[in-house]
Amino acid sequence: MSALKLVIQYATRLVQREWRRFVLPALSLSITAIVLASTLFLTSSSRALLADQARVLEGGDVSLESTRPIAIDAMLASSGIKPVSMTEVMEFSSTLGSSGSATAVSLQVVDAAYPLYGEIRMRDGLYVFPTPMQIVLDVKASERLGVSVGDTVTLGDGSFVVSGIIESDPTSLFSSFRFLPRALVSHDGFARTGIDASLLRAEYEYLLKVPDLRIDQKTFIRELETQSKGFVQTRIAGEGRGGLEAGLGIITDFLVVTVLITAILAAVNVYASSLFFVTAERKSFAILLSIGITRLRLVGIIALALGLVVVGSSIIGIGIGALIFVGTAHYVAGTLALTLPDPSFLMYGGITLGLMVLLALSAFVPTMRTVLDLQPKQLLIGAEPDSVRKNWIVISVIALSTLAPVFFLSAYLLESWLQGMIVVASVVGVYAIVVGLFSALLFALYRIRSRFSFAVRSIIAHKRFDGLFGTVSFTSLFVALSVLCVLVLLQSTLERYLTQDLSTSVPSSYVIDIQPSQRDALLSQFPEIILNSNTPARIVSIDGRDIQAAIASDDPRIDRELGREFNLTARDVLLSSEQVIDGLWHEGRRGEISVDRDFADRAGISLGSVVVFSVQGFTIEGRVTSIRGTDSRSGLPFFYFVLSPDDLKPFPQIFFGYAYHGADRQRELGRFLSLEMPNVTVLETSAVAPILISLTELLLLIVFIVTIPPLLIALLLIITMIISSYAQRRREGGRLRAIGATQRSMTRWYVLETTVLTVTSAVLAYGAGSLCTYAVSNYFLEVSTVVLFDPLLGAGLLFVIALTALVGIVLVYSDTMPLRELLSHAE
Amino acid sequence: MHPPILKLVRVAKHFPTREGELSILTEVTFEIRPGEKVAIIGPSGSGKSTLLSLIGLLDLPSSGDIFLEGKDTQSLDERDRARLRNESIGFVFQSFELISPFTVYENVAAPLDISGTAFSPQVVETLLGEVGLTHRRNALPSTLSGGERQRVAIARALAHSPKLILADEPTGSLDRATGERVLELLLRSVSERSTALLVITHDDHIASYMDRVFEIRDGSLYERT
Repeated sequence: MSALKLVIQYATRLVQREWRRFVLPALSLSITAIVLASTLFLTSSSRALLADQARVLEGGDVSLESTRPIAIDAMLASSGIKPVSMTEVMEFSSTLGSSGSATAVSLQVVDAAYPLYGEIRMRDGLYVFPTPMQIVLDVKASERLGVSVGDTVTLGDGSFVVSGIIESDPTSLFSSFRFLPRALVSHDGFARTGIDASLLRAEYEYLLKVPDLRIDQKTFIRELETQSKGFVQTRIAGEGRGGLEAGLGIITDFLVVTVLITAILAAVNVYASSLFFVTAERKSFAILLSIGITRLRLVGIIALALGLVVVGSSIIGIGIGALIFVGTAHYVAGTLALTLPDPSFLMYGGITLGLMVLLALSAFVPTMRTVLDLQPKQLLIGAEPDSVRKNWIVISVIALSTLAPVFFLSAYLLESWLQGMIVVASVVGVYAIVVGLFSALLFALYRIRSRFSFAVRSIIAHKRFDGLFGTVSFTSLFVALSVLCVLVLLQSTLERYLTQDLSTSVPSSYVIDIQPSQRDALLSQFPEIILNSNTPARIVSIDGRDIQAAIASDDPRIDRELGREFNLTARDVLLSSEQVIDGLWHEGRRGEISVDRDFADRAGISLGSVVVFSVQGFTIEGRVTSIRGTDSRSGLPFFYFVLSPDDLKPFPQIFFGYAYHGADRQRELGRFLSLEMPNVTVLETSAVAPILISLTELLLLIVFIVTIPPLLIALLLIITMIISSYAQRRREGGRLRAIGATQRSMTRWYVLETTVLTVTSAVLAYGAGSLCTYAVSNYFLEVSTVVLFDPLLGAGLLFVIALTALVGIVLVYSDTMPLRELLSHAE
Repeated sequence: MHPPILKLVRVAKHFPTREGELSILTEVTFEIRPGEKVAIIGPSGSGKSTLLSLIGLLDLPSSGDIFLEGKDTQSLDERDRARLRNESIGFVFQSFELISPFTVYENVAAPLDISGTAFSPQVVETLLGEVGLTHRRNALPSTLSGGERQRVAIARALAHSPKLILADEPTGSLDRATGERVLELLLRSVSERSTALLVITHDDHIASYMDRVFEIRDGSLYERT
């Protein structure tokens, strides 16, 4: 018989005849494949959905902003970025007039391509790009001007017919604070106004539709900011860190973390399954060796048998995973009216299969070592190989080979070899620490075992004898429990962020354009409104350097942003969204300024810098005495410069306020303002609540769905390890019973051992999980408030401990093999 | 005359199979007295090991009674059977059945540990000296040769001074010369202690060392005269 034929025949026979041995690995592999496939399907679909949301919110895949027009084509030429379409938006504040009144508006000059993503919803009919003679207004502008469709408004030298009223547009929820009503005109229409664009304080925004942006192109876009010294601000959809977009980004990052965690678990699970199989079949393999099959052929036989099981289980798992995705998508569509886009089943199914095969191959390396180490004579006469010897090389090989596929997956998902390496290095590091701790503890206990009772001594000796298998079991248990801790804590952190931090910090109403004469009257009726003064000013000099002159001379050292007008505010208290990073808060002391940290970095301002402003021709000078960090996601007012109220008192100010109101108080405020202060605008964030709630629900649902599978696989892994461990221990139990130990005492020892190990690994896992959650939340998800304890986690860990004890008891009691058989056929 | 240490009365053992009940032992009756050396011989599959399992309280008979030191073992629960195994029986298996994670010393001391009574380490050291393994007291079974392992098994079987040693093919895994030495050690050890020895074997040569020899045939036991 040829070698190949022999390998095929023996491998298929092995699978057919010994199928019971393959049930546990096959089940474990199938579930791993189900989890991995469904997580990948869900993740890619959710990422696509979130990316769509992010594109809509951002207005394009890429946006570039500047205070001056940009030669966009030339700028992109060297990067190879070829947008499918592009739109240019110029935005500035201006005044619209009608027959009866005038109002300030935020005017957007757009082209026919606007908006690239999303939809402008009109009060009546569909949005149509305005002709040069037309203007489109939002509801507030039409109300303030008292005009409707068909009426005429004036802008500069031109008059325009109102062609439509905007109810909402894609960016209306997320454009930070757009205080003024909006109006849209075309570029040709703007040309009719006679307004000189070069004299305007305008923002130029270029929105690009580039669906498949490469990593190098993303890098190019990010680097544009630094290359232009802040002249151009760039944003890539889904990577923004402001407002609710941050929530979308965080969920996307969380999905990546979850897939990686699942992959790590899968790696350990596949390894455990393979090792279990080889352990259980060791004697049969020894017999094959003894009858003359070469080790190489034996390796081939086992590889083929395992390969058949891996591929079969994976295909079944991927099929079930696809069904789970379809079911989930159906559920999401029914409950949240959201369509999860179909992922590429072929691609992600292929990735899953490839990953499973890679994982199995990696797990196969140490398994093969076990096979190649088989000593037929030793095994056939019933002796065990000496597994006590420390073989750190083997442990390293196992760790590295098992985690190699995870590295490729991390690099793929994180789009960075470096980050992939960091993730895998962290995992290896944690593994190494746990293996080291466990081995050291076991070694120390083994040395002093004679001090303990026979039961404890026996457990210590058995654990030590388990050697590599025991260490891997414990480490795997630790990994599974760490995953449990990290996922639950991360989920709690995200839940808290989405439901509490985000929603509670966003005020219920913003009150805009309050004149100084109206301030006291408003506060007397609504003292809960927190007002911020707003004084427009330009920077004259920073530490003696004339900023305006430097910009005029194109001094490359000066950020051009410094040339624009800034809003100064004055107050003596810090907001809850702020914290002093350096220096001391001025508490309203005259001559002192507090500056935002990011802006200070860009402008070259440091503690002690002297900044001179010009306000309507008058100068104010102050020394920077504190640098502030501000959470821009809080929804609270954000100012670069905060001065003393006494310094700004002499200058004209308007006020901007915010408050947290219930529905009744909100209505009272609306009625009061419409009657007493019609010039003041109130923005009610509650109007966006249903959308916010729907979005939050979606995000939480995604988090929930994606978290469940890894938790299931973690539990499965724990059970697999216990069953494998029991299979290892069964014959030893029989030997002890033969010389007088009772079944009850064996049960007690086994449950004690399992429970002690689970509790120990749970404690270690909680510590590692907390650290990991803290690191991921702070540095990866960038969520400031980290939840480090959750009652659910406590209950979960107790459940796992009880589960392991229960599995131990069930295993021992369900083992009905007579002692006679156990001793004669224990392998 | 001393009362028998072991007495089997019409012991039978059947196993359920797909084809119906398979009778391994039909009616076995015999007894062993203290210090007596008995061999049970028979071809493979004749039921020798099954009989040893029943005598060693590792399995329950389908019918009949087994008396160990005068106690009817049928009425004992699992716990009491384990205690009786621990107190009265020493096992020497063909495949040694040493506890892999335990050192040589710990293996020999295991029956004493399990009994829960205090013992002097000297007892174990003496036994190790008897079987010539003092120098290997801290070794693990996996590092021992076959002969050494069986010597450990003999020391373990003697550690708690049982009244009966059950040996299942004690030299079956050893080469002839080593087997001879192990057998000699076993016989010497039981003789010095007046312990009864029941050896299961298919080897007439081993049987020739025993006081009485039984042959197992068609599920029944016949004494060779």
